[in-house]
Amino acid sequence: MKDSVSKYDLLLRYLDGQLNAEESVRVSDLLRTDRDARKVLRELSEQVVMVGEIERTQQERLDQSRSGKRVAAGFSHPSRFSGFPLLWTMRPGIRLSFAILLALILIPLFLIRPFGKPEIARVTAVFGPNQMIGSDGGVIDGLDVGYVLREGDTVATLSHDAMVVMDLSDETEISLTGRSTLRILNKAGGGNRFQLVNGHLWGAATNLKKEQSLKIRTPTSEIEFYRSRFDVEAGVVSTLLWVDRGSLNVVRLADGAKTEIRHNEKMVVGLDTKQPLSIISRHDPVYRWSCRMLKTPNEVFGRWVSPHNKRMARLHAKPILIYRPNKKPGIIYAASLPVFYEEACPVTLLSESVIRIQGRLESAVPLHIGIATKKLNGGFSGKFEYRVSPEALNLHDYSWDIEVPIKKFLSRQPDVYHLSYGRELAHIYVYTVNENVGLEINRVDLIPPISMP
Amino acid sequence: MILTEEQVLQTLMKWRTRVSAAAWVVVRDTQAAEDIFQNVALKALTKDVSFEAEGAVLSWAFITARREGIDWLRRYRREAVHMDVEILKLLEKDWVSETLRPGGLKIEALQTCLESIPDKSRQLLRFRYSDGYSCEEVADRIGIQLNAVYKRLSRLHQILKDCIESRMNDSNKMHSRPTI
Repeated sequence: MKDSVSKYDLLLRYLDGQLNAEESVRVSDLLRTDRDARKVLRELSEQVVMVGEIERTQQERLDQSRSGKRVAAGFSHPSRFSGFPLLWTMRPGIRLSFAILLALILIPLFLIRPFGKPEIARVTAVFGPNQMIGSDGGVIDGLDVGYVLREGDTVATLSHDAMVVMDLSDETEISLTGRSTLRILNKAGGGNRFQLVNGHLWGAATNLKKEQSLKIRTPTSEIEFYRSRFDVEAGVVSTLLWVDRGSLNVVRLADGAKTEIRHNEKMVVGLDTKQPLSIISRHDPVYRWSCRMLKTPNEVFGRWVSPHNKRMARLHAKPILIYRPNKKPGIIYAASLPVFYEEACPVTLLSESVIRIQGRLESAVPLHIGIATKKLNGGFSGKFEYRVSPEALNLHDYSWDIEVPIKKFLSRQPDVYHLSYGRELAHIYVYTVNENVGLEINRVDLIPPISMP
Repeated sequence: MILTEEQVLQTLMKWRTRVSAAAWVVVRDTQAAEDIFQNVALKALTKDVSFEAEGAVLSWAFITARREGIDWLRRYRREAVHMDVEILKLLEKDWVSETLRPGGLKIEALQTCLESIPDKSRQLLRFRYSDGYSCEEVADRIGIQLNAVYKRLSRLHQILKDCIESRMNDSNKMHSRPTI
């Protein structure tokens, strides 16, 4: 090995089996005996996996396409109109007839969907109920994988466990989860623009070119993302921004204050202009979390009701209409709160962790307890639920107090997300189905394994 | 004293790049290496294993990653050249005994370095290490000789190595950062 470049060259060929037998034996011998040669190989392999990690968007696409859940990995793949080229392989007479027939089929479609508008996104995965309201006012209940979204379209996920994953033309992947609404705006300054009306959007824009950015507007902020992996949670009075990788610029709409957020930082952008925009750096994870709900963020779902007796904090469930295509609509009564909002320490779930929730119910009905999780190094990681039977509630004076081992939570997207632990806790929610029985949450605790102090 | 689940997880996350790199040396596929790391982390939590020190976690993680990697090769890449297990063990031993900075700093530096290289070079790295094309396929796609692919990749690895080292030295000197 003469110099560093030729060392890499030799090692790359060796790993690929491109050397002849004699050369291969020589390299093997060198690696066995020369620590410096091994160091070069170790450095090379670390560099390779880091490059792979930085391009993780594409890695995740590969992952999902292997599991057969995704059909379109990018705009270079055949679209739903990929049958067009066949036309030119037909005999002229048949071609003419086929073209007329095709025109008769397509003209009404053009009337329904404004095809003149640029394609912005393609749906690559769908879970749970969703709805698309087109820029022309047309409504589609239940988007399919492969559907192309254009400027002016609005996508809404309609239940707590719903998710729509989209690939953008610039190779960005975004996932809209929970009950959320996203509007696609026109492109500006070389980047895609969206309005997150409410809810939760996760994204990996790690393949953006240098001059490109992704812009998202929420009710309280205007955000410009550069090659980054992020999640945004938008409510009426505040927006939570979290950057797992890369960076973003944010403008608070209330006063135009600007700042930059980088890797492993987050920020809550509210309406209070007296407070400076303050960045929260990620600290080491914690495994114990307790919430008596006396100081909780505004972005809870539910209705606060007056304290009563020992119940100081009472988050009352609110009704949500759950619409699922081809099924009878249902109503759930739900209350939800974010776990890791303004704190610097992510709350991590271990296999022996237990979630304890205390609350109130006027009669014993099945109760559903759910958690939304996030991967340790960023990105949505699924929702998991546990159903408590009326008997197990053990109601006493309208109170319930349930402890659920984390392992008992079952995935709502089992094809993609399997394990509820080894993850960060993002949200906790409870709900009853079709029964308005005064559900409320009074306290939530994450209890670490007994072995931990 | 037995490490808690929390400490085990922290150790694995701290040395994620290194364990993934060890898996990559076996499988030569970044996607598979990432999956193997995830499996190792989950096994550490779900299997009945306990550790008394960070070094023990790392040793176990390397061995588990290697075994998982060999299984993966048997299942998906039977034709692939298997690296001598003796060399793999030596690499793992070097990794455990080395006290480098954790991967987080390096990956930030690499991200910046990647931005400074020409788009064509970035595309080459992406084809090879993210899209999983072999060097022959990369040569076909970009219309150059196989030898040229190896030469370019080798030069890029050297450039990135130098750039990362320079960035990491610089990062030690930086105390504040600008806001816009």
